[in-house]
Amino acid sequence: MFLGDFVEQLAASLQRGKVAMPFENEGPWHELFYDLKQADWGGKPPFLQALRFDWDGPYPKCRELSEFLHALHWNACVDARNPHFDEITLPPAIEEAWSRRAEQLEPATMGFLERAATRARELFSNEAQLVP
Amino acid sequence: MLEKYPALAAVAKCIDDYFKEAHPSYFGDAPTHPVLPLKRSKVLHDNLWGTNRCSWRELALMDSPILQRLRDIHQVGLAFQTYMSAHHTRFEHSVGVLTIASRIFDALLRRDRDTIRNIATVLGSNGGDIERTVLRLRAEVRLAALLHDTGHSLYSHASERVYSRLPMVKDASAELTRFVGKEKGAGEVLAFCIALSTSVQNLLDRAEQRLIGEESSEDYKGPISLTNVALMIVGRGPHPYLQFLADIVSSGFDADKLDYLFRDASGAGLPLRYDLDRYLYSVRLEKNVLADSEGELQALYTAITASHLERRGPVGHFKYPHYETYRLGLPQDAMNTIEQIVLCKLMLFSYIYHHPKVRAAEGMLEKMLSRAVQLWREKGESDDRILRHFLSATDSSLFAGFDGGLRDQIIEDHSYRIVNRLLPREVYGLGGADASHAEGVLLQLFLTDLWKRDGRDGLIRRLEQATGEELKRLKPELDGKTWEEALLTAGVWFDVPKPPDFEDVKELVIGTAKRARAVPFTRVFPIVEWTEAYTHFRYNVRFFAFSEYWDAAVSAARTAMEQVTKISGAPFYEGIKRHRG
Repeated sequence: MFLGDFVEQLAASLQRGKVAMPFENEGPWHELFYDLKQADWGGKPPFLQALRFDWDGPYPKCRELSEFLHALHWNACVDARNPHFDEITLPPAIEEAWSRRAEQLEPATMGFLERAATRARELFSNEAQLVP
Repeated sequence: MLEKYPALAAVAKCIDDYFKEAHPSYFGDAPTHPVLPLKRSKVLHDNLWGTNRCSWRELALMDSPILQRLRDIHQVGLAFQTYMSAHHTRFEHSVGVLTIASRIFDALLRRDRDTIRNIATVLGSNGGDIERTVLRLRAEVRLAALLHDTGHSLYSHASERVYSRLPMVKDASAELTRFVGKEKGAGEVLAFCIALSTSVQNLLDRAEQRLIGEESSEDYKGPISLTNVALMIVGRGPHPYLQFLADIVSSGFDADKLDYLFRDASGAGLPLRYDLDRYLYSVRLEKNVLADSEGELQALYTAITASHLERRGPVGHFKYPHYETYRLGLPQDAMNTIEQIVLCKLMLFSYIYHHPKVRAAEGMLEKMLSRAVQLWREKGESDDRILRHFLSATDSSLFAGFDGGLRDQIIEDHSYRIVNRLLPREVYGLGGADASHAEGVLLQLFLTDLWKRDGRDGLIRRLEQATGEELKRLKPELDGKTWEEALLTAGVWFDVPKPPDFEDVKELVIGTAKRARAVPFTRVFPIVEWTEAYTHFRYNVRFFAFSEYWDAAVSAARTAMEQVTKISGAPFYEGIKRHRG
């Protein structure tokens, strides 16, 4: 599993949990993945350890993540018209397609994903406080 | 300084060895240049920006092969085959960036004089001579601007994409990224190493011994730091307080962008402009922070022995260890200028950088150079030797009948075709907006998978392999070739260009919109919406093929797409097929 696959599964999980996912303000996404890189929970996918963050602003920023979030949008895998690109939502067909991919995941990875979703819920709900 | 970065050190050595070998009269053991005494300054005239007074250091570098080779590298690669007047070069651009960088520095000095003088006071190491420190910083920014593109090889980005795949260069990119704390590409690696090279240092030392004429009060008289220059080239200030200097050279609203937007548009004959005067009137310093939780910046500043550093712990909004910094910023009242710059960039992507014929020409060149690298490698050449091929090549190498000493039919054929503009034709072009058909989800998943860095190359390879195998089946003359050779012979490939990136632009805008207090600037001028809409509707990935193989490629690429994406509907393929006329 690599970054893009993980983002897809996390987004599908957050959508099922009715968690609002930020889009224009990417800060919380970067902070989340930086937290996940530091996490020592079991089932952690190896790609997280190698994830690269730039140190060029008030928070760490992963260009690969930024690039992928935008690719999700311009390829219409997520919808962001609400009305100022604040949040992303998944069309039902995409959510279903990504959920099908989740069936191939190891139980340990699923466990990590659940903890990541919990952390995302905390960070995304406090979005306004995260980025100065 | 590079002891802990062996790949970067290896590239730096390769560069020095190359310059020494290729230009002994400049960089050898007994150099003769500069032959004549040097004036302390000269006035240059730029066709876009007018008069600029250049210092002896700048002139010594301009008059050396390090900069002169850029006279033979087109700024926009092979775009002149589509926009016939787009012949401007990296040399003109480099001098233009020097001029603009200098004007930005002077504009900042006018607006934020006290702040800059305070920074100079804190960091000054010249016995408290503040003006002298300010002049040194100005001289270093100008040199960084002048040298920022020296890493380019023939036709600019087309060749960069090829040499960036050499393991030696990939390792150096990873090391430079770690060294300066932000992601850096191959071209920047070379420019960084060139600025740090003993070739540049020795040339400047010799030039200094040959100066004639009276010193002017405008001139900076003293040593400069080529380390500072090298860092600015890759967008990193030599001290957190000096980050704004690096922003002038490499950031969302940098001198590089301000020059190339206008120069590329003018060169191609496109009526795109922005208000530079308003930009210079508005640009200012912004106090901010640089987070540094993994300690990369701390390691960098320690390595270059930066003084007066204060790394603070998490506090308030700032949840990471950080340094206070000064950045380049544009405030709300520069909104019109920001709009113009963003629109110029979008339009240039649409008009030039993503034009199907420009992509066709550059893609063909990239395939040809990749083939050359493969054959050089088969002949036993090391990365070091292969990189030297790229350091010595300029655009004329192609028009002189590029063969890299390989005598390969495919390379000769590609070279002939490029020179004579026998460009491949678009077969299929598809993007996010094509996903509205019955099998839209499959297309969305495929296009998104292309943006998974770890899987992209493998996905493209699977698609191209399937296309090549099918082409061999359809065209008997390709029988006996490998699928890669079949693709090269038929000029077929799957092109995935880099979409425009505006992230840096958004981050450099300061404050909120004037007429709607507390509303983020990006809501009044929706940069994200605009750029996302461009990429969704106008950005395409494409199959190309030589005209002689176009019909077969239509069929082969469709078979490959069906295998890889599982999209089978005929209306979809008919919709994305590029019809002539």
